[in-house]
Amino acid sequence: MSEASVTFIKNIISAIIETIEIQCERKYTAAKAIKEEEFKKKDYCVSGVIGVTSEFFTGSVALVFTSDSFLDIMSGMMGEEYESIDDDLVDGCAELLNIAYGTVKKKLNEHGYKISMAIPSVVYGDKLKIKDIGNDPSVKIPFCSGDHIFLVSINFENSHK
Amino acid sequence: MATKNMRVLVVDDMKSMRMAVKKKLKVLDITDITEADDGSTAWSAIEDSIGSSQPFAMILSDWNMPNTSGIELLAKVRSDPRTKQIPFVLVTAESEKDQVMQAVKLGVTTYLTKPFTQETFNEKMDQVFRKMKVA
Repeated sequence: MSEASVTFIKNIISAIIETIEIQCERKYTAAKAIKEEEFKKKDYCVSGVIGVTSEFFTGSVALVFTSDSFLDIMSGMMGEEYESIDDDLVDGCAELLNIAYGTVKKKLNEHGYKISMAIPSVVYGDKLKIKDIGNDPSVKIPFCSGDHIFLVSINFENSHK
Repeated sequence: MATKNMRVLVVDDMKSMRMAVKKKLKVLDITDITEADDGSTAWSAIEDSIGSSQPFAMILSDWNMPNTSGIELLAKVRSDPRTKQIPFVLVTAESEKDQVMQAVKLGVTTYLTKPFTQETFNEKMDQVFRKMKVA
């Protein structure tokens, strides 16, 4: 993985956590003790994905939520307690990604990274599963607050140096 | 902070962000809030409110929206003598901050960069309220 990719990954992860902390008033911390086979077994229901392109790297960043973590975070963002997920609530996932991506894009482009604009998309439904395709490098980090868990999943193409 | 009875228009194509802004307004006891999901719908709501007993006292609008964007809405509000005095707050992403000069030239009252805390929101609202008192 290139140095530029690593810089991007570090920045996007901290921007996501900061966005959730500031805009949603929820503090999630990296759950390093949870093994990949354990968090892959969880049932996820909302995922936001944004493609990343720059002269230095190409890849994608996904936020993957269990229903309880998503309801917890959206309740914090909107100031109301939600018990079920609907179309309106799901757009919040795209908004979180937009805010975090915009923050990182601005910061890194000031250092010449030339990251392009991107539009996130969101998928939701019962029991979403995570699967890596191909052999490109990927990073998956679970974040927890109590029993709530969500993942940041980042994939990069190997072709860039 | 005054202005509890003011009527506020919140414009954003994302319901989650409209709710997030409403939540922060409610902390300031501002509860008379109308929502619009783009600049065109917002402009219709503004026109409807002109001459009513409770016209909008402030507009909080996202920058990036389909149809009519926040900056286009600002231009429209500032170019109409009936609405040009309404305080207008633009909500921007960090990546749009460079474009803020364009909004300043058009007469934006202040802007908020996402993500923002309640404290930052309160400070920006304080700025708006001070300007309203002066005007």
